[in-house]
Amino acid sequence: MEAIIPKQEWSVAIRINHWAMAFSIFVLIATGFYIADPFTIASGETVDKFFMGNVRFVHILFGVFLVFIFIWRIYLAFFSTFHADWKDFFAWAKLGNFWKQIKFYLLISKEPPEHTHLYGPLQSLAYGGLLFMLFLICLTGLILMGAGYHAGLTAVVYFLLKPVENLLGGLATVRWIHHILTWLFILFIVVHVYMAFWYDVIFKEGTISSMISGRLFRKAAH
Amino acid sequence: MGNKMIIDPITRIEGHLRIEVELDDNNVIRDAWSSITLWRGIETIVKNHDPRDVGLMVQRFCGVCTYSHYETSILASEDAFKVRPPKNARIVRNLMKGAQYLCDHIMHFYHLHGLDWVDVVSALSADPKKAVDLAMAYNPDPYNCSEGHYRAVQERLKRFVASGRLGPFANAYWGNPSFKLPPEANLVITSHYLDALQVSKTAAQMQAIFGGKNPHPQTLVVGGVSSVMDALDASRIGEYLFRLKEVNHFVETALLPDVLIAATYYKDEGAAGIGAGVPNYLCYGGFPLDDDWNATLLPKGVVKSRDIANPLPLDETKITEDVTHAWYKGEDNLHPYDGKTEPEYTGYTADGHVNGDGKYTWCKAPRYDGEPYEVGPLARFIVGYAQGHEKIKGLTDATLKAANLPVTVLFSTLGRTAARALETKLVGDEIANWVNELVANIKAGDTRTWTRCEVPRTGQGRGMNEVPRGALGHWIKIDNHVVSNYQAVVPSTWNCSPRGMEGKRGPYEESLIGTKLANADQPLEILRTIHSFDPCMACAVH
Amino acid sequence: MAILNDSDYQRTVERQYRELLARCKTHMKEVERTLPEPVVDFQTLLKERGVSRRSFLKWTSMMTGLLMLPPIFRPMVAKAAENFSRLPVVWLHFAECTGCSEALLRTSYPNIDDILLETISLEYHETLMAAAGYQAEENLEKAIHDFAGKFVCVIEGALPVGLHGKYLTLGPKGKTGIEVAKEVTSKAGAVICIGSCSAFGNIPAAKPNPTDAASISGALGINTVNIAGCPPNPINFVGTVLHFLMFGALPAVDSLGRPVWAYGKRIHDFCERRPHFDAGEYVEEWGDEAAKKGWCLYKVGCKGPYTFANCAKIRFNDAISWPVMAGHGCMGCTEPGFWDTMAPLEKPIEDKTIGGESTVDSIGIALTGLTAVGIAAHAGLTAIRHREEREKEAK
Ligand code: HEM
Ligand code: HEM
Ligand code: NFV
Ligand code: SF4
Ligand code: SF4
Ligand code: F3S
Ligand SMILES: [Mg+2]
Repeated sequence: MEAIIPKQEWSVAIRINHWAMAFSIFVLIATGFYIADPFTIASGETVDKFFMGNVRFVHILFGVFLVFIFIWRIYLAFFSTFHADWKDFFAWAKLGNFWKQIKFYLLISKEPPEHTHLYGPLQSLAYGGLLFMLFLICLTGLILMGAGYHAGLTAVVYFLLKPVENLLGGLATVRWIHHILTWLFILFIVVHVYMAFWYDVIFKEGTISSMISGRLFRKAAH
Repeated sequence: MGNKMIIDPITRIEGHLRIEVELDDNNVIRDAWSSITLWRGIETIVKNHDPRDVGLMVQRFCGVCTYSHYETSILASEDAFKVRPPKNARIVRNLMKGAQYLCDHIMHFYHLHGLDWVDVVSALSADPKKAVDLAMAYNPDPYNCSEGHYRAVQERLKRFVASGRLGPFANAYWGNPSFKLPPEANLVITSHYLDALQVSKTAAQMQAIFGGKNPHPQTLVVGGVSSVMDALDASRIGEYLFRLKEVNHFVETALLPDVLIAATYYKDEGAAGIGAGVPNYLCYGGFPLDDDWNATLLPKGVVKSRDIANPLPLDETKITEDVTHAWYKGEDNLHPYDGKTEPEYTGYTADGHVNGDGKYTWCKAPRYDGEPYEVGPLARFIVGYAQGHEKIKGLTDATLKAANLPVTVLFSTLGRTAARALETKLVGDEIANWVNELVANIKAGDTRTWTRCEVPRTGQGRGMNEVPRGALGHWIKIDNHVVSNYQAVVPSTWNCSPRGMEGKRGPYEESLIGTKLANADQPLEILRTIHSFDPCMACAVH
Repeated sequence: MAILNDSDYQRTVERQYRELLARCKTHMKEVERTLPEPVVDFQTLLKERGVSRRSFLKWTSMMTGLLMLPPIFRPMVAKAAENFSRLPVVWLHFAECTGCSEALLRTSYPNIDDILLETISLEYHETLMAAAGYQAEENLEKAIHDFAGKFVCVIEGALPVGLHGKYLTLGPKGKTGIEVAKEVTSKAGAVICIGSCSAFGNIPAAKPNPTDAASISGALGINTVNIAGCPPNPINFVGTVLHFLMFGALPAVDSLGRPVWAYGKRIHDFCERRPHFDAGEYVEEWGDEAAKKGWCLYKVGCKGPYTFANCAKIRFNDAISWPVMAGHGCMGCTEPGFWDTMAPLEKPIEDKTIGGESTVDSIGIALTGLTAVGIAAHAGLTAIRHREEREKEAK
């Protein structure tokens, strides 16, 4: 029997951050699709109904929440003393490892690449890309929000982002980009969750639970 | 070799038109070229768009006849989608188009064409009392007619002249011997020039009640109309009727008598056939009257070589466009379904004239059976008259009798202008019936305004229509759910046509031949004849 | 940072407005000194039209409000109205459809705006002027000479830049639109672009833009105030000219050159159907029960949420209607590039098609499906490999 040594992989902050983000994204996808293609609430009096209003409220609430979680994640990347550093997002720069990883995933080779960073090379690309997507969806979301609310901080943010809106070609295009990004998130989640399970099965290190407990279970031989 | 004269811009029309003529030593026009100097390429732009969006896009061909291309494009798509709008939608469209006719024709006669017949400066020397008598001679209860009012109009003109800032009236052709009206007639019509500004607004509002706005209403959809709330609302219909009455009153007591006044004093020009142009007349039929869309208020058919004894049926396959003398590639004579719009600009000659032997305009040359044709109110009246259209024949005969003129007077500049005025009455009178029909249909429980339909994967269709300036056709081809080819052959394309491959002049060009200018520096007679077609260049070239 | 308390704030604002009013008064005097007498006497004209003093006052209050000025400016608005016809206007037509001119000619009867527009001193306007050809050209030359630096140049239509501008030539000498535009705007006191064509390019500049049509500011590299819309609401034009008369400067504009007082908020923010949007009550297809009840047009493609304009507030043709009231929905005609960015005009944004058939959603669903299939295959292969391995290990 090999010894199994728990290894602290994720800090508390990262874990809270991750699940807060995951939850927000689920809510945002659900409410976002309703906003994009609402169904009609036919029964009842107009004055008693506020369904779209409420859905928009929830969407924007979690949208703003996501903006802050995103900022927090960026902060952690630079100032956290524990792992998940910005450098980890550049694991893909080791091109040799990069190819090894692809072969490993495609089941061509059984040799996983060397563990140089927190993430594997493909992971680093995926998570880096994901952070960028988060940035874009927050940016477009803030523009959409600012267009309809004309006071306070929102107005200031909107004033600053207006040139971006013009550059992108107006609110309609911003909304379309926001919608395209939604689908990219869905695609990401599907692959991401599968890969988490896959790792779990292949390495038997408890990848899935690690995002909850923070610990991986490494075989000593590793 | 005569003198060449360039008139550019031709003003008081829509858009950018250059007319060049060759005068002989007696200032008689021996040859003429009409050239449109702007191309926007909207037929190219609508490609790859959803056919349901194209109506709104091609509406921007023109903001004057604004509604025309919108409806015709929708008709083309409905043909391609194989769908027909319900009765209410048909009627609402007629109500909107009827308003378009009233608005356009009134504005045209007074604001775009009036100053070709009327010498505003001469109106200053009129005797207001005599002006009242003159107006009464043409209508028992003339519009806004009193000595006091005419005097006020004169005062306003005087103040205006005294200010030294004539604005749009500056540098015109006042005093030209080709003006024939006595000062009193000039005063009466000038006073209506001012009234007409208000009346045409009222007519525009009629359209906006169902259309959302004017110009560029936004309520037609493939399969029907969207303004179901307005169509089903008795108070909206009331607002429409109220305005209709106001406008029809103006047509009855100002427009028709004023045109009759002009006919009286310019009858020699009419009798001499000045401005007659090409002898062929074409129309597609407009204002559907029944649910099978067979009967139309405005006729459909052809009169060739002025042979009103033998009207011919319309054969759509004989319609072609050729670009031998237009700034486009190719020299074929193509049916619009296969039409192409690929620019090939060759510019002017070295001395700044149009190159009459080569390409010289952005306007294509539409042909019917290889011949140039005139379209418009005159064509509709000639074809209608030839076909024995009851209302058209009645109106025409009564007017000719009142002015004591033979029917051949129609073949002239004057005839063109008179036909437009008579048509205003024809349409204006009919509208009230449509309103009744709409109300009766709704009362009977039919509240449908749209027939469900989908864009076909592939298909083609055409919309054939009569719009204020004449016969309008749009041809659409759909591939992969989007537009793969779009061609519009527009009334002003027919009338402003350059020579075709056969070398025959287009209607504008032909209509100028033989006209004598009273004053070689002043193109007044040219403007009068060209304006009688109500030119629209944005329409013609798009 | 010092935070102003309410009364400080109040005092500051009041002082600023007093200064502005003083500037306005000085400028109006300047106008009366330097520009010619009014072409028509406005008060007489109001009387002739039967407009009472009271309704004129009401109108000045409305305009003052619309221009986002406090009530102390009302007398100045009245004065500017009286001086309206002093201002020489040179109106140019380029790649256009004349809908914008028509919109002004057919505006809001019987309001004051249409009287103003009728008295506007048009030194040059091809659709209305009596002279043609050389005589017309003379008028243009005279106007830009006599009123150099003072006249307002109003431009309707885009400028085709392709083919060295030859898609549009004007006048007996066959100058290009660009040449004429440069000549006239360089002498103008201000340049107002009327309509989305001159403001943003609009229909001739829609993809694939065969003539390389551009907005005036794009083609000439100058600043213009943009009265967006296809056509725009005439009140937005009148207000902008009034502002120019009052202050000698064009009003505050947004980042696209549109006057903030008219284009500061979206259609969606003022729409009479907004309660239905919030309630979740939508027209699903033309003429359905919801359409008869006036529910929200979002699902039949209303682009009000993406469009900055005041149509919902002031409506068209004497406030008789506007596109949403006619049950069609807004298509975003005050926004740059709207034919492309707002398409399909009768479907919501999420139904925008790529190549005529696929939408983002259909592509998204297909890709997700494909990914699921890929994952299943990968999982299967992994399982097979694993078994082999285990079997090997077992041996
Ligand atoms: C099955 C369990 C999951 C596991 C084990 C897991 C694991 C991980 C790991 C290890 C990372 C990199 C962490 C980091 O550096 O921040 C990550 C990032 C991320 N995950 Fe998950 N994940 C899971 C489920 C999900 C779900 C369901 C969502 C979304 C709905 C999600 C959204 C994200 C996002 C947006 C990131 C990137 C942001 C970032 O780098 O912080 N994850 N995940
Ligand atoms: C993963 C994150 C997000 C997803 C999946 C998402 C999804 C969506 C979707 C699908 C729409 C409808 C788009 C359409 O009409 O086609 C939408 C609209 C919108 N989103 Fe998001 N969104 C996200 C993040 C955000 C953020 C961060 C904000 C703001 C801070 C935001 C604010 C908005 C707003 C304001 C609208 C428009 C609502 C309206 O105007 O009625 N979203 N979102
Ligand atoms: N010619 C023309 Fe039109 C009309 N009537 C349209 O089809 O004017 Ni602009
Ligand atoms: S903005 Fe619209 S209405 Fe104005 S000229 Fe252009 S297309 Fe015509
Ligand atoms: S109709 Fe259009 S502008 Fe009005 S609430 Fe609905 S989406 Fe908004
Ligand atoms: S289409 Fe244009 S007219 Fe107003 S309602 Fe929309 S901005
Ligand atoms: Mg064509």
